[in-house]
Amino acid sequence: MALSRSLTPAHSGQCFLGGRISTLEETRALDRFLAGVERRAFRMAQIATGHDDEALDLVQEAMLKLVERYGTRDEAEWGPLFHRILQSKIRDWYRRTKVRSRWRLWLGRDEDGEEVGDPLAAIADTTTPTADHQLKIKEASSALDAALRTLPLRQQQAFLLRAWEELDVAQTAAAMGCSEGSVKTHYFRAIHTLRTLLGNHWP
Amino acid sequence: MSQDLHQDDREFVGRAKGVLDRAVGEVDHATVLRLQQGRLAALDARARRSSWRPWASGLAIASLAALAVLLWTQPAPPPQHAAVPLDDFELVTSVENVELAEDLEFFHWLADDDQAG
Repeated sequence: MALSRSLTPAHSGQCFLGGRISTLEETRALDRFLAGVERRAFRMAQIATGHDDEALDLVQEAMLKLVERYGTRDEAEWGPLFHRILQSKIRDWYRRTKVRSRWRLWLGRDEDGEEVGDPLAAIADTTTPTADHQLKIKEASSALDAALRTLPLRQQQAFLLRAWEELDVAQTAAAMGCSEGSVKTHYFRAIHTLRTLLGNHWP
Repeated sequence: MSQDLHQDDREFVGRAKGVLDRAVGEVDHATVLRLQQGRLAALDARARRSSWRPWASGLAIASLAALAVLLWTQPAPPPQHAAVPLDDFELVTSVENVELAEDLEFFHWLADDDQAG
């Protein structure tokens, strides 16, 4: 950006060159932003869906949409916009999965041995223990994941956006597509349910 | 129902945040690579779009300019040009001509007569 600004109109082709540099800077800024949020976004989607592949797809779709639709917006807006897109994708996934589950139930295909079902029922630990010295962290994380998955989706979203992403109430409401009052209620209920589930000695 | 967080709740939120942050560092390498691939694909799509967009808009402007020049320089059509097809249409659809059209032998004779002389 600084280089494009330093070029004077006397330079031949300066507009095109300036445009390219600007685009390159925007692309780099987007890359930095996405690199900073992608793992947390993945974890959010993973907690919501209970499936790594589904979570990766949702995060990639959210990244594509942000870059495509809002890449030219001010950098400060990317965070709330990205979370809005991601939460919307998670809600859509959740609705699709519920409908699919109903159809499976109706068609009597529950005994097919397929493990896909109600995502909230998928409380099983999806992380694979790797190192012994990190076992405690993993156990704490697994317990939190499991507890988060028992929450209704709206409470889960409110908790992760408010407590983890530290979005304010208005930003969380925008990301969740609901009122600020609903965010407060969902967040409050989520904290109390999680505290009950995890107990006083967690982590 | 009071929605202001008590000290206990705030402490719990802090602990939960710490656990979630640490878990991010535990995301496996394969997943990190797939996230990077997804990010690069998104950025690549943007780069490709922005590279063809100036050409596409330039082409669209050039096409519009060419069309405008063509319409501007083209002479106006003769006034009877549009009337000819209507005349033909009337000839074909009038009741007498429909009756005549049924008499194919007459038309064959007429064509032969024209060729003969």
